[in-house]
Amino acid sequence: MRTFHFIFCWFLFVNGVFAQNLITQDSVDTDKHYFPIAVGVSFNSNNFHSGIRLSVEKIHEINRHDKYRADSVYKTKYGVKFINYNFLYNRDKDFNTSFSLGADYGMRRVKKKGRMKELVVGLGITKTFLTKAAFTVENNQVKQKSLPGNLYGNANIMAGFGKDYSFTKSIPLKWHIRAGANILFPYGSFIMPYFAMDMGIVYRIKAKPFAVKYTIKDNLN
Amino acid sequence: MKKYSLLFLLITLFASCKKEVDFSLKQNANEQFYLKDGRSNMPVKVQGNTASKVFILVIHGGPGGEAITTYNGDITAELKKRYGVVFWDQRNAGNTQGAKGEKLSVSTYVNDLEKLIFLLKNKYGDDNKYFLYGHSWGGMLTSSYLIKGDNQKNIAGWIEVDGVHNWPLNDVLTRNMIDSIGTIEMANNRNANDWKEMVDFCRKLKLPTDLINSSKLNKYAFKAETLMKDSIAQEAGFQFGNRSMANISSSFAHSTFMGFNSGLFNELTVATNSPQLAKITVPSVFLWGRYDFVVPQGMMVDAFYTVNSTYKEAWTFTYSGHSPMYNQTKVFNETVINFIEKVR
Repeated sequence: MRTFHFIFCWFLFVNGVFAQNLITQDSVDTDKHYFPIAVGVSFNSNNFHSGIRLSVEKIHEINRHDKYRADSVYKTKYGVKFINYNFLYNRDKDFNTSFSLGADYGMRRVKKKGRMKELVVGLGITKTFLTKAAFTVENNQVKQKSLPGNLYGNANIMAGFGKDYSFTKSIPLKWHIRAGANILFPYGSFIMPYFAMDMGIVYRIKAKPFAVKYTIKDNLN
Repeated sequence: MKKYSLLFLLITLFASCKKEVDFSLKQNANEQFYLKDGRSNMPVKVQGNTASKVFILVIHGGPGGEAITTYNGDITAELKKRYGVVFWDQRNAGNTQGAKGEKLSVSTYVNDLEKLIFLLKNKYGDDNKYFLYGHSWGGMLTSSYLIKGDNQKNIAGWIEVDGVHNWPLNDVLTRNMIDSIGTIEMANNRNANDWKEMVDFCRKLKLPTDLINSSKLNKYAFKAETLMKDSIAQEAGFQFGNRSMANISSSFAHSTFMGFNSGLFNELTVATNSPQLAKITVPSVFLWGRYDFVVPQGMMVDAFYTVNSTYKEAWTFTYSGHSPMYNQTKVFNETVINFIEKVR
Protein backbone atom coordinates (compact mmCIF):
# COMPACT_ATOMS: atom_id res chain seq x y z
CA MET A 1 0.00 0.00 0.00
CA ARG A 2 2.88 2.33 0.80
CA THR A 3 4.17 1.79 -2.72
CA PHE A 4 0.93 3.10 -4.17
CA HIS A 5 0.97 6.13 -1.88
CA PHE A 6 4.50 6.87 -2.98
CA ILE A 7 3.64 6.59 -6.66
CA PHE A 8 0.49 8.65 -6.21
CA CYS A 9 2.51 11.38 -4.51
CA TRP A 10 4.97 11.29 -7.40
CA PHE A 11 2.16 11.88 -9.89
CA LEU A 12 0.95 14.77 -7.79
CA PHE A 13 4.45 16.15 -7.69
CA VAL A 14 5.06 16.11 -11.43
CA ASN A 15 1.66 17.58 -12.13
CA GLY A 16 2.33 20.19 -9.47
CA VAL A 17 5.55 21.19 -11.18
CA PHE A 18 3.71 21.51 -14.46
CA ALA A 19 0.87 23.58 -13.01
CA GLN A 20 3.20 25.87 -11.15
CA ASN A 21 5.07 26.70 -14.30
CA LEU A 22 1.88 27.60 -16.09
CA ILE A 23 0.97 30.07 -13.39
CA THR A 24 4.33 31.68 -12.81
CA GLN A 25 5.37 32.13 -16.38
CA ASP A 26 6.87 35.54 -16.76
CA SER A 27 8.02 35.56 -20.30
CA VAL A 28 5.93 34.11 -23.07
CA ASP A 29 7.04 33.56 -26.59
CA THR A 30 4.77 32.62 -29.43
CA ASP A 31 7.40 30.84 -31.43
CA LYS A 32 5.36 28.28 -33.31
CA HIS A 33 8.15 25.75 -33.39
CA TYR A 34 7.41 24.68 -29.85
CA PHE A 35 4.47 22.60 -28.89
CA PRO A 36 3.73 21.49 -25.38
CA ILE A 37 2.14 18.12 -26.03
CA ALA A 38 3.51 15.29 -28.11
CA VAL A 39 2.95 11.61 -28.55
CA GLY A 40 5.72 9.12 -29.03
CA VAL A 41 6.34 5.54 -29.87
CA SER A 42 9.47 3.77 -28.72
CA PHE A 43 11.06 0.46 -29.22
CA ASN A 44 11.87 -0.35 -25.64
CA SER A 45 14.10 -3.14 -24.52
CA ASN A 46 14.31 -4.28 -20.94
CA ASN A 47 17.07 -6.81 -20.49
CA PHE A 48 16.90 -7.46 -24.24
CA HIS A 49 13.17 -8.17 -24.05
CA SER A 50 11.58 -6.10 -26.68
CA GLY A 51 8.56 -3.94 -26.14
CA ILE A 52 6.74 -0.82 -27.09
CA ARG A 53 6.42 2.42 -25.20
CA LEU A 54 3.66 4.89 -25.91
CA SER A 55 4.11 8.25 -24.32
CA VAL A 56 2.57 11.65 -24.07
CA GLU A 57 5.08 14.40 -23.53
CA LYS A 58 4.28 17.76 -22.02
CA ILE A 59 6.88 20.46 -22.30
CA HIS A 60 6.46 22.92 -19.51
CA GLU A 61 9.55 25.05 -19.72
CA ILE A 62 11.93 26.14 -22.42
CA ASN A 63 14.92 28.31 -21.68
CA ARG A 64 16.83 29.80 -24.55
CA HIS A 65 20.45 30.67 -23.92
CA ASP A 66 22.11 32.95 -26.44
CA LYS A 67 25.81 33.31 -26.09
CA TYR A 68 27.53 35.98 -28.06
CA ARG A 69 31.18 35.65 -28.74
CA ALA A 70 33.79 38.24 -29.49
CA ASP A 71 33.87 37.30 -33.18
CA SER A 72 30.18 38.25 -33.46
CA VAL A 73 29.13 34.63 -33.80
CA TYR A 74 26.49 33.63 -31.33
CA LYS A 75 25.47 30.23 -30.11
CA THR A 76 21.98 29.29 -29.08
CA LYS A 77 21.05 26.45 -26.79
CA TYR A 78 17.65 25.47 -25.50
CA GLY A 79 17.03 23.93 -22.14
CA VAL A 80 13.76 22.03 -22.23
CA LYS A 81 12.01 20.55 -19.20
CA PHE A 82 9.26 18.09 -19.84
CA ILE A 83 7.05 15.42 -18.36
CA ASN A 84 6.36 12.10 -20.02
CA TYR A 85 3.38 9.95 -19.26
CA ASN A 86 4.18 6.45 -20.41
CA PHE A 87 2.49 3.20 -21.17
CA LEU A 88 5.02 0.46 -21.63
CA TYR A 89 4.66 -3.11 -22.83
CA ASN A 90 7.42 -5.70 -22.69
CA ARG A 91 7.42 -9.41 -23.28
CA ASP A 92 9.79 -12.28 -22.65
CA LYS A 93 8.23 -15.60 -23.58
CA ASP A 94 10.06 -17.47 -20.82
CA PHE A 95 9.67 -14.87 -18.08
CA ASN A 96 6.69 -12.57 -18.21
CA THR A 97 4.63 -10.05 -20.08
CA SER A 98 4.62 -6.69 -18.38
CA PHE A 99 2.58 -3.52 -18.63
CA SER A 100 3.79 -0.36 -16.97
CA LEU A 101 2.27 3.04 -16.36
CA GLY A 102 4.58 5.80 -15.31
CA ALA A 103 5.55 9.43 -15.27
CA ASP A 104 9.00 10.72 -16.16
CA TYR A 105 10.48 14.10 -15.48
CA GLY A 106 13.12 15.03 -18.00
CA MET A 107 15.60 17.69 -18.94
CA ARG A 108 16.82 18.16 -22.47
CA ARG A 109 19.56 20.36 -23.83
CA VAL A 110 19.05 21.17 -27.54
CA LYS A 111 21.64 22.85 -29.69
CA LYS A 112 20.85 25.18 -32.53
CA LYS A 113 20.85 22.45 -35.16
CA GLY A 114 18.54 20.31 -33.10
CA ARG A 115 21.05 17.85 -31.68
CA MET A 116 20.07 17.08 -28.15
CA LYS A 117 21.07 15.30 -24.96
CA GLU A 118 18.57 14.39 -22.30
CA LEU A 119 18.24 12.96 -18.83
CA VAL A 120 15.04 11.38 -17.58
CA VAL A 121 13.98 10.09 -14.16
CA GLY A 122 10.69 8.36 -13.62
CA LEU A 123 8.42 6.37 -11.39
CA GLY A 124 5.55 4.07 -12.16
CA ILE A 125 3.81 0.81 -11.56
CA THR A 126 4.34 -2.45 -13.41
CA LYS A 127 1.93 -5.33 -13.68
CA THR A 128 3.39 -8.59 -14.91
CA PHE A 129 1.64 -11.64 -16.26
CA LEU A 130 3.46 -14.94 -16.22
CA THR A 131 3.75 -16.55 -19.62
CA LYS A 132 3.22 -20.06 -18.23
CA ALA A 133 0.52 -21.64 -16.10
CA ALA A 134 0.66 -21.24 -12.33
CA PHE A 135 -0.76 -23.59 -9.72
CA THR A 136 -1.45 -23.22 -6.04
CA VAL A 137 -1.60 -26.05 -3.55
CA GLU A 138 -3.86 -25.34 -0.60
CA ASN A 139 -5.52 -27.86 1.69
CA ASN A 140 -4.43 -30.74 -0.54
CA GLN A 141 -6.08 -29.18 -3.55
CA VAL A 142 -4.37 -28.03 -6.71
CA LYS A 143 -5.84 -25.00 -8.43
CA GLN A 144 -4.71 -23.25 -11.57
CA LYS A 145 -4.60 -19.48 -11.23
CA SER A 146 -6.03 -17.20 -13.87
CA LEU A 147 -3.70 -14.48 -15.07
CA PRO A 148 -0.94 -15.09 -12.54
CA GLY A 149 1.51 -12.27 -12.10
CA ASN A 150 2.80 -9.61 -9.79
CA LEU A 151 2.43 -5.91 -9.20
CA TYR A 152 5.55 -3.84 -8.63
CA GLY A 153 6.60 -0.25 -8.36
CA ASN A 154 9.32 0.79 -10.77
CA ALA A 155 11.82 3.61 -10.93
CA ASN A 156 14.17 4.50 -13.73
CA ILE A 157 16.91 6.85 -14.73
CA MET A 158 17.90 7.14 -18.37
CA ALA A 159 20.25 9.30 -20.38
CA GLY A 160 20.14 9.68 -24.11
CA PHE A 161 20.73 11.66 -27.23
CA GLY A 162 18.85 12.43 -30.41
CA LYS A 163 17.69 15.18 -32.69
CA ASP A 164 14.74 17.51 -32.51
CA TYR A 165 13.77 18.70 -35.98
CA SER A 166 11.29 21.25 -34.70
CA PHE A 167 14.15 23.56 -33.82
CA THR A 168 15.58 23.74 -37.32
CA LYS A 169 13.14 22.59 -39.93
CA SER A 170 9.85 23.21 -38.21
CA ILE A 171 9.12 19.51 -38.48
CA PRO A 172 7.35 18.57 -35.26
CA LEU A 173 9.37 15.42 -34.86
CA LYS A 174 12.24 14.20 -32.76
CA TRP A 175 14.04 10.91 -32.29
CA HIS A 176 15.99 9.72 -29.33
CA ILE A 177 18.06 6.80 -28.08
CA ARG A 178 18.20 6.36 -24.34
CA ALA A 179 19.88 3.87 -22.06
CA GLY A 180 19.66 3.58 -18.34
CA ALA A 181 18.86 1.61 -15.26
CA ASN A 182 15.52 0.52 -13.89
CA ILE A 183 14.50 -1.12 -10.66
CA LEU A 184 11.43 -3.11 -9.76
CA PHE A 185 10.35 -3.04 -6.13
CA PRO A 186 9.62 -4.88 -3.98
CA TYR A 187 11.22 -7.87 -5.67
CA GLY A 188 12.36 -10.90 -3.69
CA SER A 189 13.86 -9.54 -0.51
CA PHE A 190 14.36 -6.01 -1.84
CA ILE A 191 14.58 -4.84 -5.46
CA MET A 192 15.51 -6.07 -8.93
CA PRO A 193 17.84 -3.78 -10.86
CA TYR A 194 18.05 -4.14 -14.63
CA PHE A 195 18.96 -2.03 -17.59
CA ALA A 196 16.83 -0.73 -20.40
CA MET A 197 17.22 0.84 -23.82
CA ASP A 198 14.71 3.00 -25.56
CA MET A 199 14.73 4.11 -29.17
CA GLY A 200 11.87 6.29 -30.14
CA ILE A 201 10.29 9.01 -32.14
CA VAL A 202 8.05 11.73 -30.79
CA TYR A 203 5.59 13.64 -32.87
CA ARG A 204 4.16 16.86 -31.52
CA ILE A 205 0.50 17.01 -32.28
CA LYS A 206 -0.95 19.95 -30.47
CA ALA A 207 0.07 23.57 -30.76
CA LYS A 208 -0.35 25.48 -27.54
CA PRO A 209 2.85 27.46 -27.34
CA PHE A 210 1.36 29.96 -24.92
CA ALA A 211 1.19 27.26 -22.27
CA VAL A 212 4.95 26.99 -22.12
CA LYS A 213 7.18 29.05 -19.96
CA TYR A 214 9.66 30.45 -22.42
CA THR A 215 12.54 32.58 -21.30
CA ILE A 216 15.48 34.01 -23.16
CA LYS A 217 18.74 34.42 -21.38
CA ASP A 218 21.78 36.00 -22.92
CA ASN A 219 25.15 37.22 -21.86
CA LEU A 220 24.79 40.78 -23.14
CA ASN A 221 24.39 42.32 -19.70
CA MET B 1 -23.75 0.63 -23.24
CA LYS B 2 -22.20 -1.17 -26.21
CA LYS B 3 -18.79 0.11 -25.21
CA TYR B 4 -19.13 -1.24 -21.68
CA SER B 5 -20.40 -4.58 -22.95
CA LEU B 6 -17.41 -4.89 -25.25
CA LEU B 7 -15.02 -3.94 -22.46
CA PHE B 8 -16.65 -6.45 -20.12
CA LEU B 9 -16.39 -9.15 -22.80
CA LEU B 10 -12.71 -8.41 -23.39
CA ILE B 11 -11.90 -8.48 -19.70
CA THR B 12 -13.82 -11.73 -19.27
CA LEU B 13 -12.04 -13.32 -22.22
CA PHE B 14 -8.65 -12.13 -21.00
CA ALA B 15 -9.30 -13.26 -17.45
CA SER B 16 -10.63 -16.65 -18.44
CA CYS B 17 -7.68 -17.63 -20.61
CA LYS B 18 -5.56 -20.24 -18.90
CA LYS B 19 -2.25 -21.55 -20.14
CA GLU B 20 -2.20 -25.22 -20.96
CA VAL B 21 0.52 -27.56 -19.72
CA ASP B 22 1.02 -31.01 -21.18
CA PHE B 23 1.39 -33.27 -18.15
CA SER B 24 1.41 -36.48 -20.16
CA LEU B 25 4.36 -38.82 -19.64
CA LYS B 26 6.69 -38.85 -22.65
CA GLN B 27 10.28 -39.49 -23.64
CA ASN B 28 11.22 -35.93 -24.41
CA ALA B 29 9.23 -33.73 -22.07
CA ASN B 30 9.91 -30.01 -21.85
CA GLU B 31 7.27 -28.24 -19.81
CA GLN B 32 7.41 -25.18 -17.62
CA PHE B 33 4.88 -23.96 -15.09
CA TYR B 34 4.85 -22.10 -11.81
CA LEU B 35 4.18 -23.09 -8.25
CA LYS B 36 2.47 -20.09 -6.70
CA ASP B 37 2.51 -19.52 -2.99
CA GLY B 38 1.50 -16.15 -1.62
CA ARG B 39 3.33 -13.51 -3.61
CA SER B 40 6.03 -15.89 -4.85
CA ASN B 41 5.76 -17.43 -8.31
CA MET B 42 8.33 -20.19 -8.41
CA PRO B 43 9.17 -21.63 -11.85
CA VAL B 44 9.30 -25.39 -12.33
CA LYS B 45 10.76 -26.93 -15.46
CA VAL B 46 10.23 -30.61 -16.19
CA GLN B 47 12.48 -32.05 -18.89
CA GLY B 48 13.62 -35.42 -20.13
CA ASN B 49 12.18 -38.88 -20.19
CA THR B 50 9.12 -38.69 -17.95
CA ALA B 51 7.82 -41.88 -19.59
CA SER B 52 10.36 -43.70 -17.39
CA LYS B 53 8.07 -42.80 -14.47
CA VAL B 54 11.17 -41.73 -12.55
CA PHE B 55 11.54 -38.06 -11.63
CA ILE B 56 14.66 -36.44 -10.19
CA LEU B 57 13.89 -33.22 -8.30
CA VAL B 58 16.89 -30.90 -8.40
CA ILE B 59 17.01 -28.87 -5.18
CA HIS B 60 19.55 -26.15 -5.80
CA GLY B 61 22.06 -24.56 -3.48
CA GLY B 62 22.26 -21.14 -1.98
CA PRO B 63 19.95 -20.26 -0.41
CA GLY B 64 19.28 -17.89 -3.24
CA GLY B 65 20.85 -20.00 -6.02
CA GLU B 66 19.20 -21.11 -9.22
CA ALA B 67 18.25 -24.46 -10.80
CA ILE B 68 16.71 -24.01 -14.23
CA THR B 69 19.91 -23.07 -16.04
CA THR B 70 22.65 -23.73 -13.48
CA TYR B 71 21.87 -27.44 -13.21
CA ASN B 72 20.72 -27.80 -16.79
CA GLY B 73 22.67 -28.47 -19.98
CA ASP B 74 25.56 -30.94 -20.09
CA ILE B 75 25.55 -31.82 -16.41
CA THR B 76 22.10 -33.38 -16.50
CA ALA B 77 21.93 -34.39 -20.18
CA GLU B 78 22.54 -38.08 -19.44
CA LEU B 79 20.01 -38.05 -16.61
CA LYS B 80 17.37 -36.49 -18.87
CA LYS B 81 17.81 -39.26 -21.45
CA ARG B 82 16.75 -41.81 -18.85
CA TYR B 83 14.53 -39.95 -16.40
CA GLY B 84 12.39 -36.90 -15.97
CA VAL B 85 14.35 -34.10 -14.32
CA VAL B 86 12.52 -31.38 -12.40
CA PHE B 87 14.26 -28.03 -12.04
CA TRP B 88 12.69 -25.84 -9.39
CA ASP B 89 13.79 -22.31 -8.54
CA GLN B 90 13.03 -21.86 -4.87
CA ARG B 91 11.41 -18.77 -3.45
CA ASN B 92 13.71 -15.74 -3.39
CA ALA B 93 15.96 -17.47 -5.89
CA GLY B 94 16.69 -17.63 -9.59
CA ASN B 95 13.74 -16.87 -11.82
CA THR B 96 11.21 -16.77 -9.02
CA GLN B 97 9.13 -13.65 -9.36
CA GLY B 98 7.29 -11.64 -6.77
CA ALA B 99 8.12 -10.27 -3.39
CA LYS B 100 8.96 -11.95 -0.15
CA GLY B 101 5.63 -12.70 1.45
CA GLU B 102 6.60 -13.54 4.97
CA LYS B 103 9.68 -13.94 7.10
CA LEU B 104 11.78 -16.69 5.58
CA SER B 105 12.81 -19.77 7.48
CA VAL B 106 13.83 -23.33 6.64
CA SER B 107 10.26 -24.45 7.34
CA THR B 108 8.97 -22.04 4.63
CA TYR B 109 11.14 -23.81 2.07
CA VAL B 110 10.11 -27.23 3.36
CA ASN B 111 6.45 -26.24 2.93
CA ASP B 112 7.21 -25.18 -0.64
CA LEU B 113 8.90 -28.51 -1.37
CA GLU B 114 5.92 -30.38 0.08
CA LYS B 115 3.64 -28.41 -2.21
CA LEU B 116 5.85 -29.03 -5.23
CA ILE B 117 5.84 -32.79 -4.67
CA PHE B 118 2.09 -32.76 -4.11
CA LEU B 119 1.66 -30.82 -7.35
CA LEU B 120 3.90 -33.20 -9.32
CA LYS B 121 2.11 -36.25 -7.98
CA ASN B 122 -1.23 -34.66 -8.71
CA LYS B 123 -0.34 -33.78 -12.29
CA TYR B 124 2.05 -36.56 -13.36
CA GLY B 125 0.68 -39.40 -11.29
CA ASP B 126 1.02 -40.86 -7.84
CA ASP B 127 2.68 -44.05 -9.00
CA ASN B 128 5.87 -42.41 -10.28
CA LYS B 129 9.15 -42.60 -8.36
CA TYR B 130 10.43 -39.27 -7.08
CA PHE B 131 14.09 -38.83 -6.11
CA LEU B 132 15.40 -35.79 -4.23
CA TYR B 133 18.71 -34.47 -5.56
CA GLY B 134 19.90 -31.86 -3.08
CA HIS B 135 23.09 -29.91 -3.61
CA SER B 136 24.80 -27.76 -0.95
CA TRP B 137 22.02 -25.78 0.81
CA GLY B 138 19.70 -28.24 -0.95
CA GLY B 139 21.07 -30.81 1.52
CA MET B 140 19.63 -28.84 4.42
CA LEU B 141 16.32 -28.47 2.62
CA THR B 142 16.01 -32.10 1.53
CA SER B 143 17.04 -33.48 4.92
CA SER B 144 14.59 -31.13 6.67
CA TYR B 145 11.88 -32.36 4.30
CA LEU B 146 12.67 -36.02 4.87
CA ILE B 147 12.69 -35.85 8.68
CA LYS B 148 9.32 -34.06 8.78
CA GLY B 149 6.20 -36.12 9.40
CA ASP B 150 5.62 -38.92 6.90
CA ASN B 151 7.16 -37.11 3.94
CA GLN B 152 9.45 -40.07 3.22
CA LYS B 153 6.52 -42.02 1.81
CA ASN B 154 6.53 -39.65 -1.16
CA ILE B 155 10.19 -40.23 -1.97
CA ALA B 156 11.93 -43.21 -3.58
CA GLY B 157 15.45 -42.08 -2.76
CA TRP B 158 17.72 -39.30 -1.52
CA ILE B 159 20.66 -38.14 -3.64
CA GLU B 160 22.78 -35.92 -1.44
CA VAL B 161 25.48 -33.97 -3.30
CA ASP B 162 27.90 -32.03 -1.12
CA GLY B 163 24.92 -31.02 1.00
CA VAL B 164 24.95 -29.50 4.42
CA HIS B 165 22.61 -30.79 7.13
CA ASN B 166 24.47 -29.39 10.14
CA TRP B 167 25.69 -25.80 9.84
CA PRO B 168 27.80 -25.56 13.04
CA LEU B 169 29.53 -28.85 12.22
CA ASN B 170 30.14 -27.60 8.70
CA ASP B 171 31.90 -24.50 10.04
CA VAL B 172 34.21 -26.74 12.08
CA LEU B 173 34.95 -28.99 9.10
CA THR B 174 35.61 -26.06 6.76
CA ARG B 175 37.89 -24.35 9.25
CA ASN B 176 39.91 -27.54 9.81
CA MET B 177 40.19 -28.33 6.11
CA ILE B 178 41.41 -24.85 5.17
CA ASP B 179 43.89 -24.98 8.04
CA SER B 180 45.29 -28.43 7.22
CA ILE B 181 45.45 -28.18 3.42
CA GLY B 182 46.49 -24.53 3.60
CA THR B 183 49.44 -25.45 5.81
CA ILE B 184 50.60 -28.08 3.31
CA GLU B 185 50.20 -25.70 0.39
CA MET B 186 52.15 -22.95 2.16
CA ALA B 187 54.92 -25.41 2.98
CA ASN B 188 55.14 -26.20 -0.73
CA ASN B 189 55.06 -22.50 -1.57
CA ARG B 190 51.89 -22.70 -3.67
CA ASN B 191 49.80 -19.52 -3.44
CA ALA B 192 51.34 -19.01 -0.02
CA ASN B 193 50.10 -15.45 0.49
CA ASP B 194 46.47 -16.35 -0.26
CA TRP B 195 46.57 -19.39 1.99
CA LYS B 196 48.26 -17.47 4.83
CA GLU B 197 45.40 -14.99 5.06
CA MET B 198 42.85 -17.81 5.21
CA VAL B 199 44.82 -20.04 7.56
CA ASP B 200 45.41 -17.14 9.96
CA PHE B 201 41.68 -16.40 9.96
CA CYS B 202 40.83 -20.05 10.63
CA ARG B 203 43.32 -20.41 13.47
CA LYS B 204 41.90 -17.36 15.24
CA LEU B 205 38.29 -18.36 14.64
CA LYS B 206 36.44 -19.58 17.70
CA LEU B 207 33.51 -21.88 16.99
CA PRO B 208 30.55 -21.83 17.09
CA THR B 209 30.64 -18.42 15.50
CA ASP B 210 28.29 -15.71 14.34
CA LEU B 211 26.75 -15.05 10.92
CA ILE B 212 29.50 -12.65 9.80
CA ASN B 213 32.37 -15.03 10.52
CA SER B 214 30.43 -17.99 9.15
CA SER B 215 29.86 -16.10 5.90
CA LYS B 216 33.52 -15.13 5.72
CA LEU B 217 34.51 -18.77 6.27
CA ASN B 218 32.17 -19.76 3.45
CA LYS B 219 33.76 -17.16 1.17
CA TYR B 220 37.24 -18.47 2.01
CA ALA B 221 36.06 -22.02 1.32
CA PHE B 222 35.12 -21.10 -2.24
CA LYS B 223 38.42 -19.24 -2.63
CA ALA B 224 40.35 -22.27 -1.35
CA GLU B 225 38.71 -24.42 -4.01
CA THR B 226 39.84 -22.05 -6.73
CA LEU B 227 43.40 -22.26 -5.40
CA MET B 228 43.26 -26.04 -5.80
CA LYS B 229 42.12 -25.83 -9.41
CA ASP B 230 45.09 -27.88 -10.64
CA SER B 231 43.73 -30.85 -8.67
CA ILE B 232 40.13 -30.40 -9.78
CA ALA B 233 38.76 -31.52 -13.14
CA GLN B 234 36.26 -29.48 -15.13
CA GLU B 235 34.30 -31.63 -17.55
CA ALA B 236 31.27 -29.38 -17.97
CA GLY B 237 31.11 -25.63 -18.19
CA PHE B 238 28.44 -23.31 -17.00
CA GLN B 239 25.80 -22.95 -19.70
CA PHE B 240 25.79 -19.19 -20.18
CA GLY B 241 23.91 -19.60 -23.44
CA ASN B 242 20.88 -20.86 -21.56
CA ARG B 243 20.54 -17.72 -19.49
CA SER B 244 18.38 -14.82 -20.49
CA MET B 245 19.09 -11.35 -19.18
CA ALA B 246 15.89 -11.54 -17.15
CA ASN B 247 17.20 -14.70 -15.54
CA ILE B 248 20.53 -13.04 -14.78
CA SER B 249 18.88 -9.91 -13.36
CA SER B 250 16.46 -11.88 -11.25
CA SER B 251 19.14 -14.26 -9.97
CA PHE B 252 21.45 -11.34 -9.25
CA ALA B 253 18.72 -9.54 -7.31
CA HIS B 254 17.88 -12.60 -5.24
CA SER B 255 21.44 -13.61 -4.44
CA THR B 256 22.63 -10.04 -3.77
CA PHE B 257 19.81 -9.05 -1.48
CA MET B 258 19.30 -12.44 0.15
CA GLY B 259 21.18 -10.99 3.12
CA PHE B 260 18.12 -8.86 3.85
CA ASN B 261 16.58 -12.11 5.09
CA SER B 262 18.84 -12.07 8.11
CA GLY B 263 16.25 -14.14 9.94
CA LEU B 264 16.91 -17.08 7.64
CA PHE B 265 20.69 -16.84 7.88
CA ASN B 266 20.63 -16.40 11.65
CA GLU B 267 18.55 -19.56 11.79
CA LEU B 268 20.96 -21.39 9.51
CA THR B 269 24.11 -20.64 11.50
CA VAL B 270 22.76 -22.82 14.32
CA ALA B 271 20.65 -25.22 12.22
CA THR B 272 21.35 -28.92 12.55
CA ASN B 273 19.47 -32.01 11.42
CA SER B 274 22.15 -34.47 12.59
CA PRO B 275 20.23 -35.96 15.53
CA GLN B 276 17.14 -36.50 13.41
CA LEU B 277 18.83 -38.00 10.35
CA ALA B 278 18.32 -41.38 12.01
CA LYS B 279 14.66 -41.05 11.04
CA ILE B 280 15.61 -41.33 7.37
CA THR B 281 14.98 -44.81 6.02
CA VAL B 282 14.66 -44.15 2.27
CA PRO B 283 17.54 -45.38 0.10
CA SER B 284 20.27 -42.75 0.09
CA VAL B 285 23.43 -42.00 -1.83
CA PHE B 286 26.02 -39.46 -0.72
CA LEU B 287 28.17 -37.96 -3.46
CA TRP B 288 31.08 -35.72 -2.47
CA GLY B 289 34.00 -33.92 -4.02
CA ARG B 290 37.34 -34.62 -2.38
CA TYR B 291 38.35 -30.97 -2.54
CA ASP B 292 35.09 -29.57 -1.28
CA PHE B 293 36.04 -26.92 1.26
CA VAL B 294 32.51 -25.48 1.32
CA VAL B 295 30.89 -28.63 2.69
CA PRO B 296 33.76 -30.99 3.47
CA GLN B 297 33.54 -34.77 3.40
CA GLY B 298 33.09 -34.98 7.16
CA MET B 299 29.49 -33.99 6.51
CA MET B 300 29.08 -37.02 4.26
CA VAL B 301 30.51 -39.29 6.96
CA ASP B 302 28.13 -37.83 9.55
CA ALA B 303 25.12 -38.35 7.27
CA PHE B 304 26.13 -41.80 6.03
CA TYR B 305 26.55 -43.27 9.52
CA THR B 306 23.46 -41.57 10.97
CA VAL B 307 20.75 -42.36 8.44
CA ASN B 308 18.91 -45.67 8.79
CA SER B 309 18.36 -46.07 5.08
CA THR B 310 17.39 -49.49 3.81
CA TYR B 311 20.11 -49.05 1.23
CA LYS B 312 22.92 -46.49 1.28
CA GLU B 313 26.06 -45.64 -0.64
CA ALA B 314 28.76 -43.00 -0.27
CA TRP B 315 31.13 -41.93 -3.04
CA THR B 316 34.00 -39.50 -3.12
CA PHE B 317 35.02 -37.97 -6.44
CA THR B 318 38.78 -37.64 -6.43
CA TYR B 319 39.08 -34.73 -8.84
CA SER B 320 36.09 -32.72 -7.68
CA GLY B 321 35.30 -29.78 -5.48
CA HIS B 322 31.94 -28.53 -4.24
CA SER B 323 30.14 -29.40 -7.48
CA PRO B 324 31.22 -32.83 -8.74
CA MET B 325 28.47 -32.79 -11.37
CA TYR B 326 30.52 -30.10 -13.15
CA ASN B 327 33.95 -31.51 -12.27
CA GLN B 328 33.48 -35.19 -13.15
CA THR B 329 30.20 -35.11 -14.99
CA LYS B 330 30.38 -38.52 -16.67
CA VAL B 331 31.26 -40.64 -13.65
CA PHE B 332 28.97 -38.56 -11.44
CA ASN B 333 25.94 -39.21 -13.64
CA GLU B 334 26.84 -42.89 -13.94
CA THR B 335 26.85 -43.13 -10.16
CA VAL B 336 23.45 -41.43 -9.91
CA ILE B 337 21.99 -43.70 -12.61
CA ASN B 338 23.41 -46.85 -10.96
CA PHE B 339 21.87 -45.83 -7.64
CA ILE B 340 18.45 -45.12 -9.15
CA GLU B 341 18.44 -48.38 -11.09
CA LYS B 342 19.25 -50.30 -7.90
CA VAL B 343 16.48 -48.81 -5.79
CA ARG B 344 13.69 -47.74 -8.15
